[in-house]
Amino acid sequence: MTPVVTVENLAARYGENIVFEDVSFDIFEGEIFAIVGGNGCGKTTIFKCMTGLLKPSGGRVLVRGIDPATENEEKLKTLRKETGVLFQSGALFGSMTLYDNMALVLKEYTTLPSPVIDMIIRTKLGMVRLAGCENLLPSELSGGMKKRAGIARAMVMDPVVLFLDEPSAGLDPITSEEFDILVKNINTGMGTTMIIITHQLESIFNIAHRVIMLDKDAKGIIAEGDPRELRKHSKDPRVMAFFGGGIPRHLTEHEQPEAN
Amino acid sequence: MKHPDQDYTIRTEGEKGRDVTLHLSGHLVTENIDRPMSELQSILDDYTPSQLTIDLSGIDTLDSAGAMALAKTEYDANAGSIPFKFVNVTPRIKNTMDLLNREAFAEDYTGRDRDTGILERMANVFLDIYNDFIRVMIFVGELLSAMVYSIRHPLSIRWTDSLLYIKRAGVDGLPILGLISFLIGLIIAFMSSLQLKQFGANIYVASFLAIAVVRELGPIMTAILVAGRSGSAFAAEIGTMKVNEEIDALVVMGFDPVRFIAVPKVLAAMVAVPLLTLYADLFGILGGLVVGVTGLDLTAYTYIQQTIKSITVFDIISGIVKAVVFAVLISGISCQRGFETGEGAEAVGISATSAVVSSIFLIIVADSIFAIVIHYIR
Repeated sequence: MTPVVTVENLAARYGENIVFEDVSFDIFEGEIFAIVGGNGCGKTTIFKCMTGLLKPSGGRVLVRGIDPATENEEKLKTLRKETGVLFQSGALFGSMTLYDNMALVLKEYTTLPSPVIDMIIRTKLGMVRLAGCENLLPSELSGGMKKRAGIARAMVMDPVVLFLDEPSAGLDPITSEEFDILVKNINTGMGTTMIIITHQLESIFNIAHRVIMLDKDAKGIIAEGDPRELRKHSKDPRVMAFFGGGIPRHLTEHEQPEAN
Repeated sequence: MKHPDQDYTIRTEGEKGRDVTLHLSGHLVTENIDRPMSELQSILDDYTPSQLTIDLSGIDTLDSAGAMALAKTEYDANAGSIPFKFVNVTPRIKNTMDLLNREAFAEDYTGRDRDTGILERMANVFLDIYNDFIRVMIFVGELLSAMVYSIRHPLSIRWTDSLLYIKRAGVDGLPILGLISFLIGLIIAFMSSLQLKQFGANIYVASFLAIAVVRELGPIMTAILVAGRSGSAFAAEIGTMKVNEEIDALVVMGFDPVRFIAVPKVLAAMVAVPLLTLYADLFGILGGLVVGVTGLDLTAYTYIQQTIKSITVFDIISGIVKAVVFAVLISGISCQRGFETGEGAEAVGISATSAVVSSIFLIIVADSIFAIVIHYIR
């Protein structure tokens, strides 16, 4: 199986501070791949390296065979067309309606006539249950709606790879679960490869096929695999603590402290 | 995975008015979707089949736009009461099509803005102006009440902030205001001298300039400059606080945002603008003096004597009173625009622009009223 994203010996540092080094992993077609870890472990830095927003200090990232840090403009344009990014805040352009936010991409990358663009946008918004909201401004949307609008914009060109940065952050549990279902449906329905940066355990267990866990002190990956398997079988106390919900598993299973 | 050449074919089997089967193959993706869509539409229009079947066995790639094209054909066929079916639908194609919302194809779909008539648009403009006026009046009430409270409880005023704003609106503006006033004085003196020279009335350039600067130009120029420099800054600062929920934080902590944020700015402007006006008057006259001495054969002493003779204490005081009123208008409307800021980065920009435009408008309106009132008082 050919990987869609390859990360080879990736290293990142801010000044003297090494965030991580020698990080390598592959992400395959149609996979929902989660990158997890505590605060400051470098999740967002890896996300930025993969989306070409940050040049790594060592190693490289290949997204569909293209290195976003070094490739020429033409290849990068092809890559941008084939990848979508959902930012944590949605990053919708506040001065534009949802329609304009989405039409911007279609007008840049295609020569489709306006009626077809209209229909694509309506269809995409319908997919994320925002039918009829074309004319709303981002400021008129709730947090959950912003995330769904963000994913609709990221999906407007039907990308092969979709990056999602903390998609469930700030959402209530029900909205978060609905969002997970949406992500899963898009993955099943369209075979989109998804790379998710997240803290949300529920979300990881619900949707991720595979996960890597980064650690701040180890400055790299400390666990990789099926999150359900990691929860059951990992012997690493840091992994146990993370997947046990922040409490070491021996406490969650046998020795839970009594409530006062 | 997308295919680089994005090619597709549609093979039609069957006769017009009878059962028709369309064999689709290749790649139906966003980039080329307008072509298969219009082709499917024209087949539907030309053949008007008694039954339409679409065979999807040859489809290599289908993204959501491709699925949309298929669903649209199904929708159109159903709308024309033509029996319709897909055959050889793979699970992947079915999953993609299941994601679609078919309501988007309806003719009476109302997601986008409907067109409004000119009367409705005009009514909306007047309604906006009326609502804006009401909001400004409410703010004036709040500001007055906060000012009265602050005067009765001087210790509640944030004097450090007031001094800071006096520095920002006043001291920091001295170089640019000095330069502009000097140049305006210079230009007016020069232009008027061209006319007055013809009658040998060189000396009256000093009188003309002194009256124009002290009564009108000094206060107006200063006010416009303060509106541009400090009014926009006040609105942007408060607007950013609003966007960052800092205003809400003040409210929940029990502070009155108007008293906490607007009063120090208004007080600072009330102190800074009159002083800046006197400074602008001085530099305007200085500009005229340069023209008088270099171009009109007047001595500096004669020019200054003529200037002093031409202006009265009433002129200077009326200029200062105007400046105080302008200061309240500029700082008040700028703070109001800041408090009215919506959400997002753009809203802050809109508030800052609106603060400057509204300030200048109010300055001109107030100046017109002053012109009439002073005429009758004098």
